[in-house]
Amino acid sequence: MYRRILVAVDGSSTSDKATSAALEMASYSGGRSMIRLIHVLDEMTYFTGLSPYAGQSGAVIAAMREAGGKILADALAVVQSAGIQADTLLIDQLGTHLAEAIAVQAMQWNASLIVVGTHGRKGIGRMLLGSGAEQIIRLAPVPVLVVRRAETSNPVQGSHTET
Amino acid sequence: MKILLAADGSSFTKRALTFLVNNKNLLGAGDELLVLHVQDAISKHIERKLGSAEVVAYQTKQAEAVLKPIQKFLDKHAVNHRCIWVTGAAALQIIEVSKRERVKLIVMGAHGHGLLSRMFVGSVAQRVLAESAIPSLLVK
Repeated sequence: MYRRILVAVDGSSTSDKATSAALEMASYSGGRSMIRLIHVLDEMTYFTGLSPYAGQSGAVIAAMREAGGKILADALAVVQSAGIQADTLLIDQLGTHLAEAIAVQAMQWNASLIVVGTHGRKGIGRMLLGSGAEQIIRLAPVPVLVVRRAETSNPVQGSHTET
Repeated sequence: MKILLAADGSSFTKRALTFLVNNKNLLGAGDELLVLHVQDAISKHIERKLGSAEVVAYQTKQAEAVLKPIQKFLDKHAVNHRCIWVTGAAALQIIEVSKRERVKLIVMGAHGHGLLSRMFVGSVAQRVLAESAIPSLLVK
């Protein structure tokens, strides 16, 4: 059974679903699993002009660390309240790719399973995964459990014509 | 929990089977492992030329070649299972069947079969992940 489950969290509702799925996987092992919650600081989201903090790197990084720490603490509380042994890891070397960080951590920690959440997409984009999830699956050294936000992933209607 | 294994007879299928027998707890008592194999649909044009009996015979033979060893393996490991095969586009069939059968987890290979495929996530897996809401386990 799964002993070491690595869960990528980012504070989104999809990532909460990933945490729940990890708990469910852990529950099948009769409490012998460990969960490690990993959050990777991603400077790109802060320096692409989408954020009013762009350019103020010192303050931004401090704020990111704080936010990342809170995301991990919240997820840890959820996991521990389910009675599963868990710890957290904040990867704050800026410039580290999410997928690479997870692959490296999965190898170093000897993870047996990675759990990630990904958003469903609409229109043409729905045919593709989020690039984050795609890269995680591609680089992962172990099986990856992918969970999605249910309300955004309705299958294409009427596109199946095979008989 | 009811699990669907998408089986194409590749090395991923073997790894997925190994994974499942090592994690039998995932299948609760009375739960079933549904093994789904999808044969490519043969175009109507070719079917007209060959005759549909010929086409069905061919597909049956191909599907059985994939499913028979799996059945034997699962019997040996005493895993409660059911093998089915259908024709069509693999991703769509996996999505349809898993929905219809109310499975709780889809297990499939992460990559395709080509020379460079390790560098990409397979198109079947991509499409299932993008369009199905059921949690999916990708075997590497």
